[in-house]
Amino acid sequence: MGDKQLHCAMDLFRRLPPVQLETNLTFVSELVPDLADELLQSVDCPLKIKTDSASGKDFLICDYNRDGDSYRSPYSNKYIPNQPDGVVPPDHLRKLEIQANELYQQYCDQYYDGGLSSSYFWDTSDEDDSSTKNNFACAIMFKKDGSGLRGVDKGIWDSIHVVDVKIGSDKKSASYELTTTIILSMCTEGGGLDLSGSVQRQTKVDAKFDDTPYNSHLVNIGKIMQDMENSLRDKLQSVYFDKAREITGYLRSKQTSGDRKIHSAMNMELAAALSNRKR
Amino acid sequence: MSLSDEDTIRIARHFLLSSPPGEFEDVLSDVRELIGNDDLLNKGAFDIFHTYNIEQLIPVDVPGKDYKIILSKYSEIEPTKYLDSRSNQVLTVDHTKGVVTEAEPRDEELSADVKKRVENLQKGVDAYVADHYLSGLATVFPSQDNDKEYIICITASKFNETNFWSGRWRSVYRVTFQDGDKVKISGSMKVNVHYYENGNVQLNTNKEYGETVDGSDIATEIGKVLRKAEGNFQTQIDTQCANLGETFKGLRKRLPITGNLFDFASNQHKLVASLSGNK
Repeated sequence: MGDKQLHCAMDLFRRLPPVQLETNLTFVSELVPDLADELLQSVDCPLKIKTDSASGKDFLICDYNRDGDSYRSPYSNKYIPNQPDGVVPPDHLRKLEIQANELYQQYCDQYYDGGLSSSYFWDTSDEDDSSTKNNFACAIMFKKDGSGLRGVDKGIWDSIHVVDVKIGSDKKSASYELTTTIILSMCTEGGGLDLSGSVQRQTKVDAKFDDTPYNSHLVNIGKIMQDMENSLRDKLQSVYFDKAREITGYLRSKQTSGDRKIHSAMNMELAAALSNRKR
Repeated sequence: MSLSDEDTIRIARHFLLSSPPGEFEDVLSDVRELIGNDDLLNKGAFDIFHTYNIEQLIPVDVPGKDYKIILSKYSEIEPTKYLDSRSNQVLTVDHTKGVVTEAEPRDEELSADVKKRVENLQKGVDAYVADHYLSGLATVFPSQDNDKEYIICITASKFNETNFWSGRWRSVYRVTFQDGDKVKISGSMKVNVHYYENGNVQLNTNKEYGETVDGSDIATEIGKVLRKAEGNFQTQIDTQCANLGETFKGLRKRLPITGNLFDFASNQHKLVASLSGNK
C-alpha cells in the first residue's frame, strides 16, 4: 500500500504543473501524512537560500543539510537555528566537504557567473558490513537567479547532484552513482508566458582514486558532474525552448492548409530530386 | 490529525483541475490511490468532472449528427444540459463518461436573425479552423441572455504518449453585434503544453484580444480577425520562448570563459596548496 501510494504520488508530481510543486507537496503530505518524510527526500524542489550570520555568507538549503527545522551551514558546520544534536559528518568527510565547497564554488563561478554553490557530505557506511567502510554520499548544488534581465520576470536555474560513492574491494577504485535534477523556472514580463519544470538523469561511473598527494574523489565527482551538466544543458535548451514551440505548432499551424499542401508537395519533390541523385 | 472530508475533496479537486491536457484519467487514478476512499471521492466527482469539462472545452459527439459540440459554461442550461443551437436540441451530458446520453428537441425555435448569425459565424470559424488547426474544433453559441451576443469556442488537443508530450489550445471569443454594421470581438487564447520525457516541463501562456470590426460580411470577417489575432499570439509565443532561451544561455554558460572544461585536478591542487599554506 505504502509503496503504491508513493509511486502514485511521484506520478502525480510528474504530471501536475511544476509551478505548483511546493503547494502540491504539502497537499499530498496532508492526504497521506505517512508519505511526508519520504516525499521530502525524493522530490527535488527549487533551492532556497539561508545566511550564515556568523560569516555573513549565503548557503543553499535542502533535505541533505536539514535536521527538523534547522539547516547545517557548510561554513561553520553548525545548525541554524542551533540544533545541538544535529548530525554532522565524521571528521574525514567534513574535511572533504570543506574542500568540496571551495572547489565546486570555483566551478560555479566559471559556469554560472555569480551563482551560489553548496555541497554536503554524509556517511553511508554500515558498521556491521566492513565492505562498506569509507562509503559516502554527497549533494552538490548550484543556484543561479537571472530574474529581471531583458524582459524576463523570472529566470532561475537550480541543479542538484546527488552522488553515491561505493569504494571497491581493491580500495583503489570506486563506483560513483550520480543522480542529477535540474529545475528551471522561467516567466516573461507580466507573467504572460511561463515555462517551468525539471529534468532528471542518472549515470554510474567507475574510476580509480588516490589518497596521495590528496584525495581525488572530488576530481572524479567533479568530472562526472561537469559532463552531466553540460549534456543536460544542451538537452534543456532543446526541450524548453524548441519543443514548447514545436508542440504549439502541432496544435495550430501558422501556415494555412493550402500552404501546407504546397509545402509538403515541394518537400516531396525535393526528396524525389535528392533520391534521384543517389547512385 | 486527519483531514476533513471537505478538505480531502478540495485537494482532489485542485489536483484534477490542474491535470495537463489528456492526463485527467492518470491524475484521477493517482488521486484515488492516495485518498483510498472511493465513496468519498465519488461524492465530489460530479462537480470535479463537470468543472473540468467546461473549463477545458471538452468536445462531445452529438447523437445522430456528424459534428461535435464543445462543452462550456456559455451553452449550459443546467449542469447536465447543453444547448446545441445547430440542431436546436438540448443535450443531456454524462460528465463522468464525457458523452451525450440524450438529445431532445428544444421547445422554442431560435429567431431567424439569431439562427442566421450563428450559421454565418459557424461557417466562418469552421473555415478558419480547417485552415489552421490540425485537429481543431469550434462551436458557436448564441448568448443565453442577449440576442446580439454570440460566443465562439475553439479547442484543439494533441496527445503523443510515445513521445511524452501533450498540448491543448483553447480560445473563447464574445462577438457583439452593435448599431450600424459594427461588431465588437473580444476574447482570450490559452496554450498548455506538457513535455515529460525524464522530467516534467510545462508551458502555460495566454493572451487577451479585443477589436471592433465591420460586420457586414461576418462569415468572412470573423476568419480574418481570428487569423490575425491567433497568428499574432503564436508569433508572440515564438518570440517569448526565444527571449527566455537567451536568458537561459546566460544562466549557465556552455563552457567557462576560457573555452575549456573546468580542470578539477589542477584547481584542487592549487586549493590544497593554499589551504595547507594557511596553516
